[in-house]
Amino acid sequence: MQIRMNLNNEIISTEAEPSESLLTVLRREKLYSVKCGCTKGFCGNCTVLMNDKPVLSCLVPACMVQNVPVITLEYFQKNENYSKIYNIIKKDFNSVGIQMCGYCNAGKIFSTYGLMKQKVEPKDKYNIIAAIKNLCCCCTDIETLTNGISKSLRDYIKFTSAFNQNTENTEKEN
Amino acid sequence: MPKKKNASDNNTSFTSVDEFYSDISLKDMYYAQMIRPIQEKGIVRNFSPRSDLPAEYNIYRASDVPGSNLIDTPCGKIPLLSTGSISYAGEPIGIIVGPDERTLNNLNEINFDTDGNEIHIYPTKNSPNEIYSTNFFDSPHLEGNMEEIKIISDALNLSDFSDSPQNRLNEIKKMQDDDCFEELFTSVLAQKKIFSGPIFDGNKDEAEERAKIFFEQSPNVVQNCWSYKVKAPYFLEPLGAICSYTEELTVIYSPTQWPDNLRNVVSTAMNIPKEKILIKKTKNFNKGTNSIWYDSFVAAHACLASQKCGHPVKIVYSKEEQEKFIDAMQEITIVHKTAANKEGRITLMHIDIDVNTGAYNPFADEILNRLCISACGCYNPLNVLITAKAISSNNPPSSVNFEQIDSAAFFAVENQINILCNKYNGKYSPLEIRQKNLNSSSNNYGSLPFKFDFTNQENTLQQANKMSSFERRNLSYFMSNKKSFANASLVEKLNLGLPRRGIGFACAFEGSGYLGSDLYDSANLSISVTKEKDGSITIHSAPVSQNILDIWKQQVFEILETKNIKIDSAFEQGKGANHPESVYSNISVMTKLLAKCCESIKSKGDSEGLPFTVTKRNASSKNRLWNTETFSGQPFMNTSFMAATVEIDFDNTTYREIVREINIVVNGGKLFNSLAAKNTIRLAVQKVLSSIMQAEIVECDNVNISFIKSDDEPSQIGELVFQVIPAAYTQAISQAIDCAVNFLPLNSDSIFNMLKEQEEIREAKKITNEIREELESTNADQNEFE
Repeated sequence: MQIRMNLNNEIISTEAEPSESLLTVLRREKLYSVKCGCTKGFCGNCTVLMNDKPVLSCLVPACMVQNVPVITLEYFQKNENYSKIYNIIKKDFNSVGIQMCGYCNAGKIFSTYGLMKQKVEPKDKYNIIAAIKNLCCCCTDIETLTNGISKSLRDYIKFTSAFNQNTENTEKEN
Repeated sequence: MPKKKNASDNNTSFTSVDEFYSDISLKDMYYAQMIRPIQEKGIVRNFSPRSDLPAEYNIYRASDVPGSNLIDTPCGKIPLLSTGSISYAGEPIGIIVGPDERTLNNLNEINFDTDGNEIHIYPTKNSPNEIYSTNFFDSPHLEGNMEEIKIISDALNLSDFSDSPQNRLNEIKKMQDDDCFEELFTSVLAQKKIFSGPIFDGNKDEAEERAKIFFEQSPNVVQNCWSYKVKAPYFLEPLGAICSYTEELTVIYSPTQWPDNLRNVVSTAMNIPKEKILIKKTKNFNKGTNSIWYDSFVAAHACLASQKCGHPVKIVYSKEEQEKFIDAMQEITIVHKTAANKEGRITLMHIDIDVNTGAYNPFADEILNRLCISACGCYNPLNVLITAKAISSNNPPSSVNFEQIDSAAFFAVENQINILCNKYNGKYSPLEIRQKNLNSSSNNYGSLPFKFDFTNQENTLQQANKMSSFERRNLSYFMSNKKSFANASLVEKLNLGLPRRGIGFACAFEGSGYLGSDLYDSANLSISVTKEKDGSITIHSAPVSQNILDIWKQQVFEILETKNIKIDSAFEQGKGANHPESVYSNISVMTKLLAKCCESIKSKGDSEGLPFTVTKRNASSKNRLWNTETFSGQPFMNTSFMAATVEIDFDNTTYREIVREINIVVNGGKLFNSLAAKNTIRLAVQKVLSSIMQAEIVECDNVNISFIKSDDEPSQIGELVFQVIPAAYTQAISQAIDCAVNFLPLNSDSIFNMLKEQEEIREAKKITNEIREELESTNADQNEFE
């Protein structure tokens, strides 16, 4: 069947079986940041943003994404709306020694983004660990990842308050 | 000095690509999948797809292999594609190739035509004597039966015999004397026997008999069987390869860990000169699996398909294939019998190791050797007898991880020491027993033929004890259990309100730069560094991890004061990455060699004219440390040491354990980057906890890691956790439930089932005792009556 998708801010139509996983469809569209790990929804390597929330694409049937916005890591890294957040995450992950092996990047980055959107406190280790506990990351341990995410949340708060401040100032000037 | 070339030069045979092969797409690329029968053993006469193949889709078989279908390995010949004789369920028998992946999935439903009498015609692999004794080849039904004889001769890969049935049969019978016949039928792939100590007096044949007599005379003897089948779950890229074949050049993209082997296998199978093969190594994290050698076979499969169909071909294994055939781990069983004197000194260790290697395993010898070396752990018994066998079975080849290859041996010996300690009824703690028997330069008690280059073991053990208050807690749990569990029923044991607690202690070493391998020569590891015209530094090495790269860059900067450093992994054929990746020992060996290169460059300055290259290799004296013929000496260039404790609570209501605390002390020499070292240990703890329980992740929020400060040479420490934590974990559970846990991995029902079994045995003993007492009293009454 033909499935109409809002993929990386572009409306495309692609051929897919209704029960085929979103992971398979995305890789067929040559979006290789979406990796095939466990195919059962417990490693996080296939994470994408669906309606701006991180989801495991191996568990999402293709028919569910009809007209739904889906963002993959390729777009997240380059698009101006997201790249600033991506750079914050990347910088903070580097500073605490988090390895970015390439296979589990999507899971780590989108989980962090999801926590940012939920406005989780940087000190709230409990919720951070709950969000990343099921990421089967073979290159970074949970404690280091938690520290990196915590730092990213802190820097994200600073970034958004600076951004809001700038917006307010611009409006006042206008 | 050999000049390293750029990737664009024609002589380059190995480069690295910073991508995953599964993400690479070539123009006009086809896809391929393996055809696998579900039969575990027997003969497949023919196979065909259920529906007609569309145009551009083809099936290729063993008969299409242009070179040799049988690949020589150190432990026998392994077929690239099965010729019909099946050795394990899922053994690849063919390749189906076509332009569309989805269509291929639908076409990969195959009909297999097998012989109903397959077990009768082609028996499972027995010893040659068993086959001869059944007079199988004299069987009357074979006489003149060309069809059956042809099946057997194809299975034995005999293709150039006459067509006369009787002649063929005579040739097969003649082959019984041939070495390769035994190779095809034997189930023992490798064997080893090591003995040392005063009771043996160098007498090999009577070793078992003398050990038996010694055990009968010893005051404290314990015997247990330990079973180990642990592998860390793997969720990264599955195995596969891409090959683009042309007459002039064959390009292979593969996450290979052993490029030299890949080139040899492809060259042998495809009849291509080695210089016409360019290997592009893609990103790879696949260390703990069969991929170390099977990637060569997969590359050869892709090459065959590419040659036949005239297009680049990509093979990507499915998750199921990866789990069943590449990550498969077969059981290692170790029977330990230990005798000790009244002072706690081990007087004899008899260790019997059985390794199930699956149908094939080129590393059977290596696995056995390493297990024998680690069989006695960190201890030096007065007498030692080790017998080991690697046995094939109708299972997929067992995976091999060179870095964790001795985990099973440490699991067995560390648990055995703990059980031995129970014989002293609290007189000696597990820590004291270990200290008395430690293999150290100050302990001349034992006769173990292996010497290890580690120091400060005592200090490490004491530190682990101090961190965890091991002796105090162990004694407290021991006394509490003794009081509560003596003669208690299952219900009484568990109905005690508070959770039960246990603490386990284990220690192990990790050796790097193994000197005893027949497959590679650690003593000849080398590294080259070039100072370029612009003053920048190029390190010629196989691709390394980011951590190692940071350490190397730091080292080069400290000596040569330049930050303009890069790694070049392009090599001409025969120069460069010839060893399996996991043996390079980047921290302990290569970093040292790199430092020597930099010192040499510094001393030469610019006097030689730029660019110039310096190569350093290990001193040839390293070779003399290990004696391959007597299997004795110092087996590793470098050894690190670790001691750890695991403390658990046992929940009476869920019959599950909760890990309260893990304490780890590492003695790895000088640390280049303590943050990276700590992260490595933490990650390893995470991995091992996710592997000791099947389909579950055991969690522990309280992991404490400490390093012994040292200026000794740096050693590899990444895999120590796998040698130590499994044993400490099972010891802790054993103490908490008062029942020996002697196998891994566990599952969620294991502890409940063990307790139930123990209860049944206890009930049976109780009934037996009651019956005996009744009989005795009846006899007594009868005697009285008389």
